Amino acid sequence: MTATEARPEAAGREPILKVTDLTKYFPIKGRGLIRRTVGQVKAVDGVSLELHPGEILGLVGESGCGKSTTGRAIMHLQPATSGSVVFQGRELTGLSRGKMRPLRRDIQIVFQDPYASLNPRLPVFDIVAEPLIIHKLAKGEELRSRVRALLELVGLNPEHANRFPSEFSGGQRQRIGIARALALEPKVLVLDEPVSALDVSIQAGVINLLEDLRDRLGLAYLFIAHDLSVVRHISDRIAVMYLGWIIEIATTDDLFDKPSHPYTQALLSAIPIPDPRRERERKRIILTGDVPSPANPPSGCRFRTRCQKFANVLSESQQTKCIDEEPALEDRGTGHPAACHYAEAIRVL
Amino acid sequence: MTTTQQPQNLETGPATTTEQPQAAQIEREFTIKARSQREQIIRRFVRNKQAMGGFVVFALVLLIAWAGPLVYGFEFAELKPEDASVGPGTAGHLLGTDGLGRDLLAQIMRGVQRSTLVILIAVGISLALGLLVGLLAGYYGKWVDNLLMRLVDLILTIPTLVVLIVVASNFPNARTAIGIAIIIGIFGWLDLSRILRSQILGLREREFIEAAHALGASDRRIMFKHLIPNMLGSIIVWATLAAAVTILIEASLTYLGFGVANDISLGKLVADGVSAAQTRPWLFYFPGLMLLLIALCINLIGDGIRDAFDPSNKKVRA
Amino acid sequence: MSTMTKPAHHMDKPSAEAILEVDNLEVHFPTEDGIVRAVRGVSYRLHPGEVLGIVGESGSGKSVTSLAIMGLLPKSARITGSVKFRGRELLEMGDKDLSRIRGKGVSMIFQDPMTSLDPVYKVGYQIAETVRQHDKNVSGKAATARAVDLLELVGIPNAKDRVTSYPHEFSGGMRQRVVIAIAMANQPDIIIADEPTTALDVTVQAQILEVLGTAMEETGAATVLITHDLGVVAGVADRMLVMYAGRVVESGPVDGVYYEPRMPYTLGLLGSLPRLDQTEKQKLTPIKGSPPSMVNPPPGCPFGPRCPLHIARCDEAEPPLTEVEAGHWAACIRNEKLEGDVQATEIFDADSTDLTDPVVADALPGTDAATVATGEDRP
Repeated sequence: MTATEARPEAAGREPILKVTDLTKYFPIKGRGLIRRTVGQVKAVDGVSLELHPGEILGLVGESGCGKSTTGRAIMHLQPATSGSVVFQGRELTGLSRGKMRPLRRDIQIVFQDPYASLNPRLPVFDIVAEPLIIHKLAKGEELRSRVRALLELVGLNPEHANRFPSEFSGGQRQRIGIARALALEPKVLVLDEPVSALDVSIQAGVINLLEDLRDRLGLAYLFIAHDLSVVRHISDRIAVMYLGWIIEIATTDDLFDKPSHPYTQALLSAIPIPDPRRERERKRIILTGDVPSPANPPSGCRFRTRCQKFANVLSESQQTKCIDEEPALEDRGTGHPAACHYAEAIRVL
Repeated sequence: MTTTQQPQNLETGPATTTEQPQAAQIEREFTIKARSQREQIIRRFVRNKQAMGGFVVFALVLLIAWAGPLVYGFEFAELKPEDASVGPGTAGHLLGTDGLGRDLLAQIMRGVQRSTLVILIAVGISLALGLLVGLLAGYYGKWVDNLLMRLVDLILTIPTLVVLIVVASNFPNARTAIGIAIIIGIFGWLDLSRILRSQILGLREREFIEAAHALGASDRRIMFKHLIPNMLGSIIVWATLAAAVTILIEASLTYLGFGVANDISLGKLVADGVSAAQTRPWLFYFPGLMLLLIALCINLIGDGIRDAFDPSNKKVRA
Repeated sequence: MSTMTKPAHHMDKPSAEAILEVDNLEVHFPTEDGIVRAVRGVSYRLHPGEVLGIVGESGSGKSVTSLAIMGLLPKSARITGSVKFRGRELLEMGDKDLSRIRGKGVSMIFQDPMTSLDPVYKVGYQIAETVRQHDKNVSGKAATARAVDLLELVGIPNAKDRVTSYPHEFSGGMRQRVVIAIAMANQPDIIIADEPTTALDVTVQAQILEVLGTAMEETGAATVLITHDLGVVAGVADRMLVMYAGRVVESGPVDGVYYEPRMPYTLGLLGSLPRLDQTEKQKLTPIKGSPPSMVNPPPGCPFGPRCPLHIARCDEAEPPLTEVEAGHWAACIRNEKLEGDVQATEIFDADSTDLTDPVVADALPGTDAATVATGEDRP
């Protein structure tokens, strides 16, 4: 089940990125001399999604849900265990590094931590020039002018190119990371929590920049984040992940107006709103317990162990279905796909 | 004011634009001066009195060793039977002479030159081997790592000095300063390879390495542009400490009779001087003190560099 | 409008006796680059049963303020001013007296629960120890029973069995519950919670905030909630302080500060937050530049260089906190410009460049209050 239904106007167009049944398992090694594999962490367990040209798809979930791993598997940074990633009609999984290299020009990634993602020993010029040098796209005076243009593009002062990352603030470093990703003029950017390490007043500048760049360059983003407020602000469509699965996918307005999966509902209700009167009136859906280990997920529906609906509303026979049967990600009359046997749209906000 | 307030109604509208350059200027003026990492490291080193002391003394020793022979009246190999075994300060020999009438200061200057050469060659070889093994093991991991690290473990179980003695005694022709340096170098890389391997294991997970992969960087580029520059601190520290160890190992080997035989080195001078320590103490003590002085200086410099690189060492002046 | 310039007693309510009085608190750290002035003249009052939110971005001094109050700063820190708990001066108190007040009078909850929990002891033992530390007459058995009760209260399932678990056997959210249980153990008068939910996922954050509410109810303690998250404060706090560059730049009742902020920084902060409940798309209004260096702060208003309302007079002197409305104080000489319902978009510019000169961030030893993101989900 893919997301095209959720966006009828996009259905006609060919997706630029199509991910089907992507899985990524990490082996758990035993102790001792011969480190046998004793189990699997199913970080990503059958994720399918489509990204259309010029679209921003938000991928949200809490820590450990597999959203970053999905991004890295798509980028071929952590090769997928199974499934397919088709980018502009070409299958990426299983490609060798050499075969993958030319394709990297069209799909790039921006990382979460602007302090860790820039080599502290290289001046900013070298960092932004690196992709152009690797792909032999420019040298000499042309290289210099292109780096200058890139720094200007992300709203930095090009005169600062000879400085080191440690001399920049967090927001400025993230801009450097974005300039590096844009150097190859990609069509798709995977943004892995690009603003979550930044202070709010700085974060807003980077969000605005990302919006501007999308409009000016016609990029498509896979915007991975845990902060639904940020995702709502920037995304056209949103996919919600839980324990390696996409449990709901819809256009942004649909997801916020008609959240259908109990997890999405709880997530929306848990996020505090900077508005004292509304916040005091809000009723929260408080989930019980913690996220189960992805090494040993619950049978049937993975969310059932924390599900408020499972615990309080469903009858015993209905619960049996949750325990025995994996709910497929499909539209059960709520207007968009949700992976819950008893999906039901309610208003949370 | 009401909700219908428009930006242009605010008196600040035009004011903002005119104030802007001034605001920017203030920020530049009153933020602390931006310093690059390199500048900070150098600054910390220069402020470290012990390290700077070691550095200055070591520089002086090297200067004397190379410039000294040009102005000093005696050649290191010059035999002057008439001045044999004179004490320091006699007949123009500042530090005295040995039994064959060779000037001790000239020999020490020559010894420092040769010992420096030993250090450079030995550390150079160890550095190359350690880098190679450390990079391969740390970067490629899996069976490469297993194989190389077990090899290192194996070699480490054998006492280095014994290995050196066996090798040196089997290759008598190699017993010049350069030959001994090569032998020391070949066995001196083990700790470096382990240090680098564990550093790479940490660096490998850092996002900037992942970013380089995402850009399609080659292994060689990642190693030389990203990994090595980030390990420079530990490499330099290791090199200085290895230099101090080398000069001592060379002396030990030579003293035991398996080191430099057909050449001059500080170790050789000390070894030759031992037998005369009672009767002609200058022959033992001057080269010995020079040896200690150099080892001490290099250690101080190494400690200083380590402290300068270590960010957790950011001292709070209280 | 009042023209009172001495901020020290600005929040005195004549009716209620303050339980905690902080006056003109200053904290300086000597570092390689010079003296970092982390807290510069912070004053506030905390009344019994009240929830006070302290909001600020990283480096604003909000955490350092509380660490200074608790006497938990590294020895190199120079602290001046006055902190009175029930009329007793804490800054002049010896370690022994101070540790009696910590836990019994004032409890603290940190961002990372592992800073408060000892990894080598069972959690039940740690709670029981806290109980016995302040009341030697409690028997071991009674203390353990109290530990079980407390764990149940903070919502740890099978509390009876879990008292014998070690901290590492708990998840992050569960650990924070244990820390709250310890904080509640001796019925403190004040709970200081320093970014208690920052390291947690939102659904767990909601749980912890609920437990924190239970703790406040059970103990009746006045609470100081320190956070960078304007959403968290909105629903929980009665009054709030907004901190910037080591100073309180705005304070007042939560509603007043949120709906009618009178300091441009507060307005900018609210305008740069994407809103979960915003249906139509509105451009965010970032605040240009970065917070000033705490070694060489700019003259005059510390927010001046980033402020769209900045005029030459702003650089003449640091603006004092002045009462703009009953109980609502702001440190801005042009605060009347923000009177009424002014939107951030009317003042701030939604443009996305950042051409400011790079700044070396000041390092504060041992007081890293960085806003750690929770998004890491790689195994």
